[in-house]
Amino acid sequence: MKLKGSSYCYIGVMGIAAAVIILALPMESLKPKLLPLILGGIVFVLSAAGLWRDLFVQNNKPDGETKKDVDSEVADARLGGYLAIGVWIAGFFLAIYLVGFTIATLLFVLAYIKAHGAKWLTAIIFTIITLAVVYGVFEVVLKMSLYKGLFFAF
Amino acid sequence: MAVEAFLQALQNFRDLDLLLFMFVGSIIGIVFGLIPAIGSLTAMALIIPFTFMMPPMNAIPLLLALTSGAITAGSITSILLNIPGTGVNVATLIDGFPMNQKGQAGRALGAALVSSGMGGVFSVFLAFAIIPLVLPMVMALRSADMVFVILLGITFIGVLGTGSTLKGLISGGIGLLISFIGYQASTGASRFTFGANYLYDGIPLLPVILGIFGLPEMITLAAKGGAIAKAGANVKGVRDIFEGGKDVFRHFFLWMRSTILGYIIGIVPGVGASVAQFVAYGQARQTSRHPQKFGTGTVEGVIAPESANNAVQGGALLTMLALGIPGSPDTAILLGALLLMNVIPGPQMMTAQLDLSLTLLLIVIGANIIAASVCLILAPNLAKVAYIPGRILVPLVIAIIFIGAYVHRESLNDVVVTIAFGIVGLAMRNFGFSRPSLLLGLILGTLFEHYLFLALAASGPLFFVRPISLVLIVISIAAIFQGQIRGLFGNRFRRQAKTYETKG
Amino acid sequence: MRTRIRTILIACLGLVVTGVLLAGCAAPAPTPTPAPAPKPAPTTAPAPATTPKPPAPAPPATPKPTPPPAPAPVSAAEFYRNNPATIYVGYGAGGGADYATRTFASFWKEVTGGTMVAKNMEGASGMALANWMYKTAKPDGLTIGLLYSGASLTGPVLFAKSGVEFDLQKFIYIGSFYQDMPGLAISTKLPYTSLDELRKVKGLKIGTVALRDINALAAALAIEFLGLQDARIVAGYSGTPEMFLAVGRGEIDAVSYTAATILRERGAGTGYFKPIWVVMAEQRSPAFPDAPTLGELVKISPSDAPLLELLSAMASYPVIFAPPGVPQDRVEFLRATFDKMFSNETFVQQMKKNFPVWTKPVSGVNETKNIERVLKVSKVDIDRGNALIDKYSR
Repeated sequence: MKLKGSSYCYIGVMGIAAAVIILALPMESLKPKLLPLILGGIVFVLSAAGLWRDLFVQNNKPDGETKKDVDSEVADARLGGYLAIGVWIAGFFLAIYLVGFTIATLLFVLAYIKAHGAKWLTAIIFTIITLAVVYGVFEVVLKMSLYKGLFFAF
Repeated sequence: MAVEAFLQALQNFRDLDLLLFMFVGSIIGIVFGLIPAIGSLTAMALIIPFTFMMPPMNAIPLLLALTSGAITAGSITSILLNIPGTGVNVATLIDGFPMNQKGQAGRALGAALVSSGMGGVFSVFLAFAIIPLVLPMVMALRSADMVFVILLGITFIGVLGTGSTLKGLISGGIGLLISFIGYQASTGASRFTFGANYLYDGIPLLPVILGIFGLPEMITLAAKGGAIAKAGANVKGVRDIFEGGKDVFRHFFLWMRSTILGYIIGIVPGVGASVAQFVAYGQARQTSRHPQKFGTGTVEGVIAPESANNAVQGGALLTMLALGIPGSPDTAILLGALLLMNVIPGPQMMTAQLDLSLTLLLIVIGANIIAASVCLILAPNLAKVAYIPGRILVPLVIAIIFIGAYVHRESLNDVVVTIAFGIVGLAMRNFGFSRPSLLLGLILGTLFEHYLFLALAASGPLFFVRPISLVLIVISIAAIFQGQIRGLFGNRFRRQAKTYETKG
Repeated sequence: MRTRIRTILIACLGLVVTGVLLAGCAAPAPTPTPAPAPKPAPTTAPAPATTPKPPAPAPPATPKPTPPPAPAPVSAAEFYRNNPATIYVGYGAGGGADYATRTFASFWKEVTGGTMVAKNMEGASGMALANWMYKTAKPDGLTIGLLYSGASLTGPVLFAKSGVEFDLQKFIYIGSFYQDMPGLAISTKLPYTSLDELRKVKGLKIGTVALRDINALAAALAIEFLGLQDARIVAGYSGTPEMFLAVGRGEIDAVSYTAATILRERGAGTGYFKPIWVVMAEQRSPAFPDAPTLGELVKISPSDAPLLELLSAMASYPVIFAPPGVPQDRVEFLRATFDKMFSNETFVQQMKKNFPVWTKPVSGVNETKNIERVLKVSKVDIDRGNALIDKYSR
């Protein structure tokens, strides 16, 4: 009777399905709400069944699933690693938002490679390659205007 | 007359300009296919302004070849980075990426490229063979039948990926529910948008693809360290590629089935390669003797979708020429270009202007051969991506994912969607929910709704009482219960059927 | 040691590449960043769809945009020469509107010297584009759209119960390609030739793309006034290519659509349709001069006449429009370009290839007046029209 990672997923999915049904019910005409209601119901029942199986039928699980769960336990052990990369991504996005794609890419690639123990030279080389691709392909060849960033929007 | 037209088409093919632009188109297509996140659609939209100044017989080869090139090269990033190069290479990564992780990147690339090229070429031969049948086939299908064509696609939701059937179905169901976000096409009513402008047009496909497939792989790589391929795998470079090419001939009938399937789906307007790849993958798994190996890195899982998605082009091109109805988004853009060049699609393309149609089909053959050969030459070096250390690969790929998500519609919101689906994708990956199922649901949801309501409006609640619909229903049921059906036919398959049931 | 040298060499190469790219970018005339004009209150709720009452004082023909914060340092002509523009068509590839849009975009360079790309944004029979243009598109004059006004602009505003999130009067109209009226075209699969024969048939299915637009209204009025038994409207096709194919497949028996588009389809040689059989307007269509109008076939009582007038007022044409708030000089330039385009002989020739019958284009100023005329239609007539659509679509 122990809740596992996938159990939380099932609960989340049940929540989403319930939300869909609640949002769809008050719609005026039948057409827009017909399929969301039916599918929301099916998904809710399926995930409830999944949760049931997770909680009470643990021993009869197929092998594949056990292996996956072990995998996810390994993943849990490295939670710190996930957190770190999550912070990196969040930082990258924030940088894009503030200073635009070109500078953010420069900072992100350089800092990431450097912070993971590479020499300065390696970090700079790969940063230049990335920037060349980003700037060359998108801005010069495709003439797309990449987002300039909040600071440079004026 | 047909022979004359064919000779005329061959005559056209001796034009040096045509060959040149076909080659250039293939190369541009390959480049765009290789950059994750910019598919052939974006590429075409960007190239079209330049084509206005060209004579039609330069521009058309360029655009046709571009699609072939992009679809062929798109498999490369699917296999190497778990990021589909174009929207039609998604099914390839289900088995392609695990092969890469096992150190078989070269073999997967070889199989993908050879089946792509051969699929593209063979589909054109199919097109030559059945030109007179295309019109009757397309005309026989009504909205009611389309409902069941889509339904057949939906039946494969449960069998994509490695997780249990139940998890596959839930993932697909979530995908279907997500597809309902935005306005409902027939009434214009907006659903689940919470008043946000951004959601009115629905959740865009490309950021979802980049988010659920690309980001989780990079996040995991960063968290676990090392490179994509597990250490200790031995690589033989060119020999690996060659091995992959030989695999296509080892599974020759699978390749042919998938090509024919892709071709037929291409002919039917309104479905396209994004569905064909999954149907091909699903049938490969359902007819396999060892379905449990699918999703863990088996070469059949690469051959089937790759041959199908290139084969779609031949079929879709034919329908577009004969009826003026695009069978895929790429042909839709091509159609726009053709109209501008005063090539007006219609039945006369199959009669009076047959030579032009045949020329276009020959261009598809040429472009597929060029694209596959160029990619095969590049493949041994590209395969080394699997051994680049994560600390260098991760920032580069994440940067490109973000930029790709942005440039598609120049919207920063798309980047936010990518990140959100990255988190969803990571949870799905770690807890065994099938990500391809979610995507298939997302693609099919609104299509299904569209045809369902049309069928209801045109033919009433008993719309399915038609021979074609009933046949499609039977096929769908057979696809779902094929394990049990096989069990009924003798003991030889009983054991495999049983393993299949438990594995789902 | 050797690897060190190699890495340095690669670094130099990278620097050279970036340098070249930077130089390549800097070489062409530095494109001035367009001063984005703020959208006039984009979040204000649009006029409710069911009561489209124009404000009492008639607004000026062209809505005055708020001046941009920084005055544009370049003339509009130069602005359009330096910045690529985009025209969105609200329907899928392959239809008449798509063709018109692409032709327009391809002649843009010849007339202005700049570039224009055509893109499709389909959905909700064009309403998706209208909403997007109103709420999201940048009003810098580089983004314009094309829609059939009766099908996707006036139609939804008058009849749709939900989904309209734009204000017709706030859009800036650049011009419209031609004026045309809807007609009823019957499948070649049906043997009927006269009204009496058609009246005996039961359950005729008439296809339209959207349910709340001019063509659906035309279909409903045809059923009502011609007395077709048990006939009904089948709506929801993604566009004309799909709908016409449905006629060819025998899924529906007739369509109600713009006469010029049906003429074009017949010209393509698919053989799905007989010539238009009745024109749903006050005058005959130049596309099918032999086809009678509804008024010629049956007697319309004075109480029903406003419904037919409503149809004429909405008469559907492909109109080019811009989001609200585009600077005035750019609006003038766009309108002048539109007029210039139609004095270009090659452009007109190219358009005629697909629309063999060509009536005069409508200028942006006149188009704005047309839209206002539609908005003056009385609520009673609109409700009656809507009730008829409801009656025949179930």
